Amino acid sequence: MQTTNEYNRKRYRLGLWFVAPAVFVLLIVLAYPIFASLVLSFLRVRFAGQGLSFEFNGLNNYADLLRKDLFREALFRSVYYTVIEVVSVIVLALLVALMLNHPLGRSAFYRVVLLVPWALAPVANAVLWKWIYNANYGILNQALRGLGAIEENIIWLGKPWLALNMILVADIWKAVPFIALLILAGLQNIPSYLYKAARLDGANAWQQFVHITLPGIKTTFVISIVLQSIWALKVFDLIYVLTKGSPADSTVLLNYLSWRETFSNLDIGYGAAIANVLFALMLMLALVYIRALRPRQPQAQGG
Amino acid sequence: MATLELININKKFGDFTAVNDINLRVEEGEFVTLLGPSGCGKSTLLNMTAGLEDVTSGEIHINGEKVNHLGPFERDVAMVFQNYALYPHMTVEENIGFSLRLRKRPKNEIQDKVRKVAEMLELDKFMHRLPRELSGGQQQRVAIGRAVIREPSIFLFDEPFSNLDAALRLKTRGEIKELHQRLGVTSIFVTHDQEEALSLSDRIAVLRLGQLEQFGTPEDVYSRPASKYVARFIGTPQMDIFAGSFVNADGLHFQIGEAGIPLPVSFKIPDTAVDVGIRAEFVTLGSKGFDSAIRLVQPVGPFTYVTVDWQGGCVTARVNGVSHMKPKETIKVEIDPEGLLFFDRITEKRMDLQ
Ligand SMILES: Nc1ncnc2c1ncn2[C@@H]1O[C@H](COP(=O)(O)OP(=O)(O)OP(=O)(O)O)[C@@H](O)[C@H]1O
Ligand SMILES: [Mg+2]
Repeated sequence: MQTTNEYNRKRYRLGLWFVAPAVFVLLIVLAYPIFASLVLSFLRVRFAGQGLSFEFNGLNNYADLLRKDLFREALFRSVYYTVIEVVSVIVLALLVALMLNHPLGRSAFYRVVLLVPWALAPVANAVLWKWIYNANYGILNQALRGLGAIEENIIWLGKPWLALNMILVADIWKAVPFIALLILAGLQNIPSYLYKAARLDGANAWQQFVHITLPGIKTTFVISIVLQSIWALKVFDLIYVLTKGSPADSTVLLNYLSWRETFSNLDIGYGAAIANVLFALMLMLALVYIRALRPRQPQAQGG
Repeated sequence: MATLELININKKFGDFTAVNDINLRVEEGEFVTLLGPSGCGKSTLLNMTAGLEDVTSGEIHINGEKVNHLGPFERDVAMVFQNYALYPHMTVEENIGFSLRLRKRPKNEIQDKVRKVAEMLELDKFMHRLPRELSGGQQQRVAIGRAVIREPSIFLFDEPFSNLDAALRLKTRGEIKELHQRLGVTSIFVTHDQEEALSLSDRIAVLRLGQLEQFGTPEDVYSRPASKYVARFIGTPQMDIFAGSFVNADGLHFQIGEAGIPLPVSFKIPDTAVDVGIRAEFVTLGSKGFDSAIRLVQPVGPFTYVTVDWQGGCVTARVNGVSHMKPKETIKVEIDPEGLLFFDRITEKRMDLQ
């Protein structure tokens, strides 16, 4: 026994050496920025002469969050944006996945086409949509005029709610493929004999969907909702390219606000405080995600 | 309860014929087994009967009515799958009651029926467990319960025991037989295990490459196999087959190598070449016959199977109890002519000559 214990301890110590470099890198690229941002949020940072001056500011940056309308509006808009995006993406992705899982949709061609929006670089996607939405030359106005749906060009990014919703459309378009593939994988994991059994039990197509398909992709759903919420909360590039927060700050969401306070207004401590609120939200979502991914433990006792 | 009739059933997957012109009539309350090796089309035939798969051609009649166009549920058949196919997110209770819930039966009616079925199958202690929290045997019983609760007119079983260990297989086999005796529902049972088929069935349909080789009682297929294929497939140990010829010297004999087996005077000599099949229980080892070397001694409890070198091949004898014979020892082999089965060497069909 003595020797096996000795052997295991040695193995363990050697293992630590093997993971040490990776842990070290993670600490630098992940832990340090998180920690630094936390520290910054308790400081007042000023540009003085040649450098920065730091001054302890207590919880003032966080108190500011509560005081400033713009933060509350951005928070509200972020929540709106996230809810609409998650619901639309999940519903659309489910429909797409169901079509791809249908015998007529099995061809690899569709899956390749589907991946195009997802494979686009985020900024390229944003620029693309900027042209689509362009009030004078944009294809959206032309198409709608051609169809007779509108008479006057619409300034898509010029009106507060409209602009936010148009950003949503562009974001949803980009996000659907990935979630659709996730759900497709979930659908393909449902064994076909369950459908056979359900047919024998008298389930019609809709009942099969409700009682077999939906429970079968429940975990995939949870994962999709969490991933998509995180995606929606951190939206930045689309806003940066399409509107820069205009008109009248109506497309300013949390992440964009954080960036603007930090790098435009140079209110670094305040920007960090906003970033930390976002971080807390995403951390909660990430915990849900990890729970959903954890394999379920079989219960020892039945009821 | 119902009759089932399969009329000229064919099934093609592309160019491949999985089921080839099968005709089968199952009587009311009968327990019929589809028996054959892997890939011979048993599941395909069963799935077509259930309505899970279309026939390429042919007609399926239940209770005298054509049901080709009906879905699985309308055919009023219930099926137990090889891997049980339990709904993984539903408890035992919900699994068993699913068909009733789909039909929107009143809650207390569902509860009563589920409880009755669960008690019958000794599942009442596990009602709120999920399938993955059950042993294989318990899952198996849930699958049976899900079929039983529908009170179908036909039960279909697709190798329902193949995921169970040997002891549990035997136990479940008995339970299925009891269930059938109790409910008397017409049942079709798929298996590749001949012993299972013999012990369960009223009649056995032996399949080969998508074709029906023989349809008969267990006694028929064992004692009067239609062909060499059936004879070899059924019975433990496997039947030994030898080539030989008829010799008329000193009375009629069937000559295998140097051994001549005497035949009765009433014997009808065919005009084609024949092979002969010998089952172990008709081989006697002792003081009469030809000297042979023992090759293999396999005790199985009540019997010992002793395989000996004989006339250029091997023949296996069944000896009662535990035998103390040893490999390489020499012993005399005698064949009981009553047990010989004759097969046409070309068509491989059995010939009734005695
Ligand atoms: N969907 C399908 N497409 C093409 N060929 C198929 C299909 N289903 C079955 N087959 C073929 O048909 C033949 C019969 O298959 P089937 O599943 O009925 O065999 P089985 O007798 O049930 O075998 P096992 O004992 O292994 O379950 C096999 O050769 C199989 O490869
Ligand atoms: Mg099969």
